[in-house]
Order: sequence, then C-alpha cells, then structure tokens
Amino acid sequence: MSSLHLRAVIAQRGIDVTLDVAAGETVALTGPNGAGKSSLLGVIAGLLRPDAGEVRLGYRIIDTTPPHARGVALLAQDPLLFPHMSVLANVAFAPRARGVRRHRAHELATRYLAEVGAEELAGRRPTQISGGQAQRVAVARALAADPELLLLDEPMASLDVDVRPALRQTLRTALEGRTAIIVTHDAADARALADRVVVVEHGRIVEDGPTEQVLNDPQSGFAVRLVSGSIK
Amino acid sequence: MPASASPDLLGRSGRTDRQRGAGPSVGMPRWLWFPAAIAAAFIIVPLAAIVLRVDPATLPSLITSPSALEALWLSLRTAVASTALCVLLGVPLSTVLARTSFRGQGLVRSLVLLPLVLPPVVSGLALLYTFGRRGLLGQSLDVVGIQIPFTTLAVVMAQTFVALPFLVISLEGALRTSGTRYEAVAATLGARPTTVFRRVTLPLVAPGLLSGSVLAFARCLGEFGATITFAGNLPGVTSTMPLQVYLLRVDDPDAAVALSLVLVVVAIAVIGFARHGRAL
Repeated sequence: MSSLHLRAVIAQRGIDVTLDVAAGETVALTGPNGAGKSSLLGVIAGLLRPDAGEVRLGYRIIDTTPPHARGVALLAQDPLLFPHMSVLANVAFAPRARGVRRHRAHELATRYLAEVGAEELAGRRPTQISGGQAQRVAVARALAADPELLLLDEPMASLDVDVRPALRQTLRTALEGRTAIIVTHDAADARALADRVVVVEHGRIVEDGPTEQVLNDPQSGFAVRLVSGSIK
Repeated sequence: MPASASPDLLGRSGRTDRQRGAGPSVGMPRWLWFPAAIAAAFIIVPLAAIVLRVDPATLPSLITSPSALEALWLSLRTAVASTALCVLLGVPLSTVLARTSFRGQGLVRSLVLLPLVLPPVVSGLALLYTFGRRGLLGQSLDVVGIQIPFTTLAVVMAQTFVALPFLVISLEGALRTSGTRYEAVAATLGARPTTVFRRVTLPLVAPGLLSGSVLAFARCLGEFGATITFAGNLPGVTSTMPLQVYLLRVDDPDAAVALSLVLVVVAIAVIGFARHGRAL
C-alpha cells in the first residue's frame, strides 16, 4: 500500500483539487453530482488527462504512466464483469495479465472469491448472477490485481437497498489497511468504510476531516444534507 | 397474468426482438401490401425462374463436370484466402478507425469504404493501374520478376479489395457499440494494451467479426467485375464460378444455369448463417 498525492486541474470542468491520502487510509469522497468526483478518479487511474497536475503514488510520479502500469484498480458503479468469461476467469484476469500461470491464477482467484463470500459462484457466467453478487465478484477481481490504490466509484449505487449492508460489510473487510478512495452519496458508507471524509463542490474541496468530525459536525452545505439524510 | 404472456397495446411483450416486431400493427395503410408484394415478387420470381430452368436429370453431371468442379474449387479456395486476408487487414483497420481519432480520419474512412459503392470494374481497373506491369507499383515488381495480373493471386487481391469494406463497416460498428468501458477496466487491472485487445476487445466483438467475415466471404464468392478486369478469365487459374457462368451462358446455358443454382444455394446458406448470427 502506498500513499497518494493528487493535484488535478481540469479547466473545462472548473476542477482544481489537491488531495493527499496516507498509506492504508480510506477516504470517502462525496459531493453533489457533477462536482467532479468521478473525473478525479479518472485522473488517478490514468483514464483522463488533466490540464495540469501531478499524481504521485508512494515515491512514483505516475502522471505519464499508462493505466495498466499504475497499480491503481478502479471499481465502478456497474460491476462490468467481462461477459465472455466465467466468474473465476474474471477474478483470475489480473493475475493472468501480470504473467501468473493459469493454475496458480485460478488458486488466487478462488481465494479472493472466498474473501468476498462468493466462492460458490466461480463456475457461473456473469449473466447468471445477481447485481449484488456481480459487484462482490468485481470487488474480488479488483483485489486480485493487488493494487497499491483502490478506487471505488459509487460501488453500491446500482444495487438494491437491501443488499447494500452485506456488500458494505464485505468492503469493510476488504479495505482494511488498504489505501482507497470511495466515492459515495451515503453517510452510512462513509461511516462504515472511511477514515476521512472529503467534500467536493463545484470542483473544489470545501470540507476535509476525520469521518466522525465531518459527520457529527458538518460544515459544508453538502455535508449537512448528507448527514440529515436528504440525499439518497 | 404474467407480462410476457401477451403483447401489450404497444407491441411490447418481453419476448425476443424478432417476435416483438410482429406485434399488432396499428396504423399501417392496407394499400402498402400491394407494392410490398410487387417488391417481394420482383426478387423472388427471377430466383424461381432460374431454379425452374434447371433440369434435374442433367444437374448432377453438369455440376460435377471437370470444368465446373475446377471453377468451384478455385472459387472456394480464393474466397477463403480473401476472407482470411480481409480479417487480417480489416481487424486492425477497424480498430484504428473505431478507437482513435486523427486528422483526416473521416476522409480515410470514406475512401476505404469506397469499394462498397464503386462499380467493381472500376475497382479492377484501379488494381490494374497499381499492380499491372506498367502500374504504380507493378513496374517495380516487374523489375524483380513479380507479375500479379492474370494470376490466382490477382483473383484473391480483387476479391479482398471489394470485400474488405464489408468487414470493416460491420466490425467498426461492433467496436463502437461495445464501447471502451470493459477495456478501461481491464487496463486498470494491469493488462497491457495488447492483452486487453486479445482478451477483452476481440472476444466482445466476436459476433460482429463473424458476421462481417460471412458477408465478406459472400462478396468474395460472387465477385465478377474486378476479377475479370484485373485477373482475366483463365480456366483453373482465374476463372471462378461467376466468371464460368458468364463464359458458359451462351454456348452452354444448361451448365451456366446449373452453376448459378450452386451459387444461389451457397448464398441462401450464407444469409441463413448471417441471420442466425444476427447480422441481417
């Protein structure tokens, strides 16, 4: 696990953000839709080029590093499991991509599936499992990449409310000791998963503090609404 | 009653796409049946005419005559080689067109799709002025002793020239439809671009690649104009089935009709295959 230093300017979107995440820390990134949260994740993952800025992971400056060599795994709102592969092959994808032999990659995949409580799905196709199960598998697949930094972009937004607590519990275990940024609109996610809450509005950080402090004594307009439960 | 048991008023029924189109027609004017029937008959009657013209008694001997078998074998060989060449060249071209943007890309796309609408004779002439003995590249090739026109290689090149756009147009469409989201995920999981291409991009567009290849194969098999212009009509070397049909149509109409029937049957098989793969 590595620390992250991010500075990103995207003029067109009015985004200008500097964010540091300590090694092993989980940060909840929150704010209104369109505030630029997903764009920031895109910049960190290397899928989006900022107009100016810097991305540093540990001691590595990764501004010009292609996405595959960054050590940053991205878990999106949709699980995006590869539809032409079994669940096991999906989770084994990252180990296989870094050259691990098939047999060993499948062993690893089985272990990560067990970690998220989805080992019985190994032989299924992504079309044969539910949305909640698919997102579990997507978590296992991201963990199997052994990333230095894990980005989660509203991982529970597309799930039914009644399956969210179970996935939240899975993530709680999975994120333990990992450097991670989770974009969320749910105070419960922040409370369960994050050490720190960062609020972004109109492309700027308007509030940044320990989870307890931000949720108990919110200062920014968005944080107040988040805590009062008026955002769902 | 479950929602899928019967179509609702808008024809939505939760069934497959193909069945959904046949829902209750609310507003189609009845008189459309008349021109529609003429249109269908215009295609079907000539096909029936050629089938009816076939004499079942002589058919087996006509389509197994040495010259017929020679033409059939040449057609199959060249069409398979051309389709393979289309895949080899068309997959990279489609990917570049679908996944990158560069100055003049629109122009490049328009030009490489041109053989779709160009008269095949013109395509053949263009190849002749490129690879002919006095052509743009042909002069240099001639110096080192390579002559392409009027060889089986010329047949393959003519077929590839006219069929490549079919593959490119359907594969580029498939690539655009499948989008880049899976590719982005694969990259963040540590897969190099080549790995992503091989293990994610290509498998996801496999149906589009298959239907594009089938269409290209059909186009190759039917190719006439570019072939006769660039490759000539040499039995066993460049005389494919369509050329053979054209050659025989006056002297031996029965043989021409028999060979035509073979081509019709192959075409029906291709359409059936392509429909099955949801290409048409």
